[in-house]
Amino acid sequence: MLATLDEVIRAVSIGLFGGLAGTAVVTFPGSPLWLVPAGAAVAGCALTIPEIRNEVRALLPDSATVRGLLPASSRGHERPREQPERTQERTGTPTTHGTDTPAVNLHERLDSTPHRLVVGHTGGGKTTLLHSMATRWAETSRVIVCDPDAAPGMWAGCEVAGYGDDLSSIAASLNEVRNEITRRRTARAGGVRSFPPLHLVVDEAHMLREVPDALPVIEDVLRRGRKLNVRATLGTQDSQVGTLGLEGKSALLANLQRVDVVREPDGRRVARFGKDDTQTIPNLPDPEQFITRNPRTIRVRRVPAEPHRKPVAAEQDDLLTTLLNSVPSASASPGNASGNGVDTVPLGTVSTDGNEVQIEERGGDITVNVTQVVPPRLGGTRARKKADTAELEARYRERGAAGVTFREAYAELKGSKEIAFTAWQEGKGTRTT
Amino acid sequence: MGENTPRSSCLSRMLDVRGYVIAARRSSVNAEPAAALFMALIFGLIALALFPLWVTFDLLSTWDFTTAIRFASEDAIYDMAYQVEGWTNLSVGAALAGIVFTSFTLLPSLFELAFPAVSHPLLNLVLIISIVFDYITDWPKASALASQWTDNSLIAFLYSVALTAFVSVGVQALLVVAVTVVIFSLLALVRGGTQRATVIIDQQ
Repeated sequence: MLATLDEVIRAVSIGLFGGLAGTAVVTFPGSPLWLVPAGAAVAGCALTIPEIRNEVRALLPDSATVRGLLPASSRGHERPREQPERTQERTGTPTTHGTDTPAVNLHERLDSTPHRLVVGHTGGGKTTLLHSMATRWAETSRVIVCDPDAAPGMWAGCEVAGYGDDLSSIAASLNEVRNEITRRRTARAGGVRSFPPLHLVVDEAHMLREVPDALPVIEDVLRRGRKLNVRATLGTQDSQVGTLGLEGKSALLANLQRVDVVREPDGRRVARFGKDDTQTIPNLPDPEQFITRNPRTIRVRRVPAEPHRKPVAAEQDDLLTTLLNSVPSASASPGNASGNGVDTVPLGTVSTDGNEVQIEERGGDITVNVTQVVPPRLGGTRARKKADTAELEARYRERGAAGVTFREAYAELKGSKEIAFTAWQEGKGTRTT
Repeated sequence: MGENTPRSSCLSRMLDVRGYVIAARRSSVNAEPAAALFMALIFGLIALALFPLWVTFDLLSTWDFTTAIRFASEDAIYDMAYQVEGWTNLSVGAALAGIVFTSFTLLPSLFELAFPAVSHPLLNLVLIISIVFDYITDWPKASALASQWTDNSLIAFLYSVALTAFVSVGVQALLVVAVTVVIFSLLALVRGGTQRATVIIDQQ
């Protein structure tokens, strides 16, 4: 790189404001007027020092426009080409969207294994990295976060447990994970092989020792979660098995991709994957900045529960063609598994990658239906928000119609108060009429 | 994946005087006597050419600018020199006063040369202030020269920006490098001569 942005800012500050100061010295000899542009030059240069920039940034109010221009931390030579875009949607739900930056490369690397162990001392950037990963996953997947230091608004799009050391809520979340694992195992036993990703993120994982029945869930996820697409990411201050409550089970650590988040002597934060394998951590949003006293919990994108299915014609599917050719009495009936007026006997359903095969007997004939399971498409931000709002309105209408008070409904569902109240009133009106 | 830490930028490496000094030392330390003599002569000439520029645009400019500060602290400096003279019974007072006065002028340049070696936010800030201060003190003379090249005030300003940057940072860096090469070349020359003398004595 020819010059970093910080260096360019320094050069321009000194050249422009230093020049103005020099001109003031020449034009107004004996006057202290030159101190004004000189101060501007020093200030401009000082803002290129990460530590000073962070201090200035912390002093500015959240609403200050200039705050957005001051990245939370970076050193001149490590600034990525593009900053990860930080957006806060109108609903108040902050999300982070990465671009093709070193952050994405780091994420891709971390995503390359099912489970991760992020180790870092306090203030080292462990939670920032976990937050970056979790909010990124939450855009397309279900993410369950267990964080005893969680605060409202911090983990956008995630299901969060543990606010204020609430270990019982963490236990409940882990129980939900256990139930989901059970459901997926049952589905797998029925032939289902692909599942949407479920991410379990645990910050300050050493507290799992204090959560009842937590460690068996974690152990189960680490040992057998990969096939069910259940992925664990643990954040801890050290990787001792004693700290994690895994005494006698150190082999479990081999299932985790370990990454040490450390701060180098020159102030850079790096992810250390091995002795000689480090990767600089670029600017990531500080999770603390998303904390708010008035959280709005409209969820961000979610994968719909039911994927779209469309029938596949016999000539398009090799398996169906083979079955039709090998079974003399078989016939294809795409999209019509159950015949009208004829008793059908289901013989079984098999799911392969992307296809679902249903075999039935109809009046002595074998009917084979192959259905292509199309993964749900994620719409644009506007479409998702519209869908979320519509879903929220429907829920408020239901509550209103059911006679639930607005206060109770709002405590449960949250969201935009204006939209919520209107929908609740509509539902209430339906009830009274 | 190996070390993925990005290198420093081209500009920062160009302005890193330490890098030049280390490179000069490496190139000179094992030089043969003839090469060392050649380098000492050439870089000595470069240093000689740059020295008046540095004195005129950097040292004297800063000396002029800091006149008020020197005057303000004159009494304290002379008092200090007088006390030192009394303790040591030597006439070092005048020399000490001269060194302190010169240090005022050299201080920004010394900061610029010394502080890049230390990475600390406060020292980085001091370094920046030194560079800005040096730039402003060098501006009047450089600007007076640049304004003779054109009648357009905007272009004259831009010329002044570039010329001041050169005399404030560039000349100083080049001078340091040239002097470093001269010093290490002379050391190599002396060491080479010593080695040859040892060989001759051994042969005898």
